[in-house]
Amino acid sequence: MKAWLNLRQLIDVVGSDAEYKVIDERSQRLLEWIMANYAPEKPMFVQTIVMNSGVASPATIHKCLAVLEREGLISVKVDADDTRRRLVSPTDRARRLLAKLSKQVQAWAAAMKD
Amino acid sequence: MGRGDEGLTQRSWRSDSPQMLGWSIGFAMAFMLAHWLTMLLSPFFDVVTGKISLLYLPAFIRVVSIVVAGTAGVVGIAAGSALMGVLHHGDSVSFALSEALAAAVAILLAHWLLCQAMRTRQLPITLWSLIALTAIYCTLNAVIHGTIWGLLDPVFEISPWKLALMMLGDLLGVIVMFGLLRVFVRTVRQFKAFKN
Repeated sequence: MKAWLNLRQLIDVVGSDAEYKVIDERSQRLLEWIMANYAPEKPMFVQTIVMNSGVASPATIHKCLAVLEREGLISVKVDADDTRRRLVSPTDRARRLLAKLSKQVQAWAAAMKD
Repeated sequence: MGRGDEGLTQRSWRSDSPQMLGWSIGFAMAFMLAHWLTMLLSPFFDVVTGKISLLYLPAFIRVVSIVVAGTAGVVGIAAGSALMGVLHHGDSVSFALSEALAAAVAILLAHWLLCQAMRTRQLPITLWSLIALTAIYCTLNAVIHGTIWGLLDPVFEISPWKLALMMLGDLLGVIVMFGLLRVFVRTVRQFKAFKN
């Protein structure tokens, strides 16, 4: 009987970060890259991400961007100066989520250090 | 099924029986504990005294029982429910059994419906399947319980708003208990990480 396994899985699901689990690992890494390289005064284009992130192939990056946009973690807008280009910016939800995760990682790192 | 398979099934059934019994007893006790806690909180949350509470904690045990232990868990919560009815509320055996059966049928039916919708025999334990199971169970439980009370209890008058409140009470019970479990699990994890 695998009731113990079910209980363990239930506890894992209940204790996990559901917000971050809805996106796949590549999309997570892409979001982290966007957050690390984004500056409000400097526009970030889809093309810039495809060329520089190195997270995956261009086609996969486009898919990941669609996932992040669907989950409300990035905002994609058409550039007013050149309608062929699309501007990407992280949303407040993404900032809150990464800040929360970063705080958790710092707490863990501090605990390991002690 | 061949003779060999039959033998294997019987053997595994025999070897699993003590464990299944253990899970049934465990869930029966958990159900009674949750019921007792609900009664302690009843002055604050009861809408219809002794019948409908806006925070019905045993609903959480019902959802967990089927997810963790399947039918053995449901048998446990039915037994717990019947025992509480007879021993604590002083209900007649037939009334307590019908209430226990109603609760068991509601969660079994909710589980079966969700498995059918997801085209699977084993419900995957994910956040979304738990949310869906909870929503279906709360609706079915309110309807089935309301109908049983309407039929068996001459004092209880069935009405849509009572059913809606019962559904809300079950839903809040599950959400609050899952929230508490989440806080507990995360605290234990942080404590373990800190200790290591």
